[in-house]
Amino acid sequence: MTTDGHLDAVVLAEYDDGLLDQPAATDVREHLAQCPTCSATLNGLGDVRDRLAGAPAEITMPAAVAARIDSAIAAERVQARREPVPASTATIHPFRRRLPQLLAAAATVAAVAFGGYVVATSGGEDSADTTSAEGAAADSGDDNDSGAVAGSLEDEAAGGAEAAAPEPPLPAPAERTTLTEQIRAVAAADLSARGDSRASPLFAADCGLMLARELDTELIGVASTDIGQPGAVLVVVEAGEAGVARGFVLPACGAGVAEALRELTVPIE
Amino acid sequence: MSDPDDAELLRRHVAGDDEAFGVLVRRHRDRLWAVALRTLGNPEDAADAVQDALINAFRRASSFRGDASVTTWLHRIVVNACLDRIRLAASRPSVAWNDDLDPPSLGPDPGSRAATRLDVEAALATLPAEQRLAVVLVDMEGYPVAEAAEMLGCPVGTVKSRCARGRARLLPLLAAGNPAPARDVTSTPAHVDTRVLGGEP
Repeated sequence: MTTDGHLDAVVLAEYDDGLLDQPAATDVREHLAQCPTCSATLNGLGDVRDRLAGAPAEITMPAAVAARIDSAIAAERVQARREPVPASTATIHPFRRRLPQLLAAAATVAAVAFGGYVVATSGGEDSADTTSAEGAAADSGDDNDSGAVAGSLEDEAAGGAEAAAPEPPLPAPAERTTLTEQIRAVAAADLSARGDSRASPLFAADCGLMLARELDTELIGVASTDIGQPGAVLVVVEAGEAGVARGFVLPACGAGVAEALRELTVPIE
Repeated sequence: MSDPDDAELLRRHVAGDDEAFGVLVRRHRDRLWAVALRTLGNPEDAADAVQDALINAFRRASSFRGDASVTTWLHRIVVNACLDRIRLAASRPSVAWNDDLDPPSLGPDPGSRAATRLDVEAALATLPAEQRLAVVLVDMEGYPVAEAAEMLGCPVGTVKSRCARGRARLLPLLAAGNPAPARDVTSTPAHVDTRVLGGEP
């Protein structure tokens, strides 16, 4: 505890911070009362504390560093849109933009057009619908957000991403009207796409990853649905045995099991 | 627009809002920069660490549970990125910061704020990384010990102890006067430090 009859600076710092127990603190106090050297050390520790506290809490990030980081984030955003994320490596995964709006908008289109049922459309019409829905979602999003805050880098990156990797269409709503059939349709679409992971809808994963992770299972696919409530999302996951899938109707993208509106386990092809 | 809070921005980012993460970054980057720069001691490593950290935060945003504040979460990610850099540097033969301390002739104006800051930061470089981080977060950035403990992923008592040890170790560098046991402590200002530690390279 002492050096040359004087208290160690660490002990004094701990005393200063109130870290010593009562007997030790008393010893230190008694020593300080009759030792100018240690009192001076204690004062010096106060100087150190003041010097540290006196430094600014913020240091302006140099513009070049800020620009570099902004563009790295913009690049990450582009990357996130391009690369589908396998559910099995979902711990760290990129995020898609405007998912809820997109799905909700698409579901609304379907509901309006087909009287509350999610029914079959041809691939071409489906693409057209979702494209316009995406446009509407994007427009309303831009209106709501402050454009002034957005960096030009990010805007450019957004444009570049759309040019380089067009947003895939919303996963086709199941071509049936019952939950069982919708789940089977999602599972079938996924199975047909298994050979090429990029064929999976880019943004589908994020909608259902939380739930799949919660259940510790693999995500099969996601689609919009009007079963349960308008704008709901159907998440289909593996049920733990071959030929069986579990479907969850969620009120929104990213919802968990507890929030599911409907749940059904069905045999699939 | 009205100012959404950090958690709302993060939520919007996870929901697909393109702008939210950028707003969050601009809001906090000068503080995160201060932490990284002081912890790593040079702007190159600090830039790498903050970039790594923010990309990581961008990807992991959905794993944010709201148990901690967003700033705590961001700091924790930056702290980990800094520790990664320090481990990397430890595997290299020389440490750039110490080399920078050599030129003794630059002697910046001790009255200027920049000179004071350099002194503190040069002195910090002499601390072991764990003590340095604790001192930076608690004594410089002013975070409560409990919050710093979350950022560092260690117990509160450990943070307190590291801060005390760190300050004791900084005593000869930052307290006015001579090295411990500080027999001749006076109220002389810190020009001694600037002479010993040199100016900006």
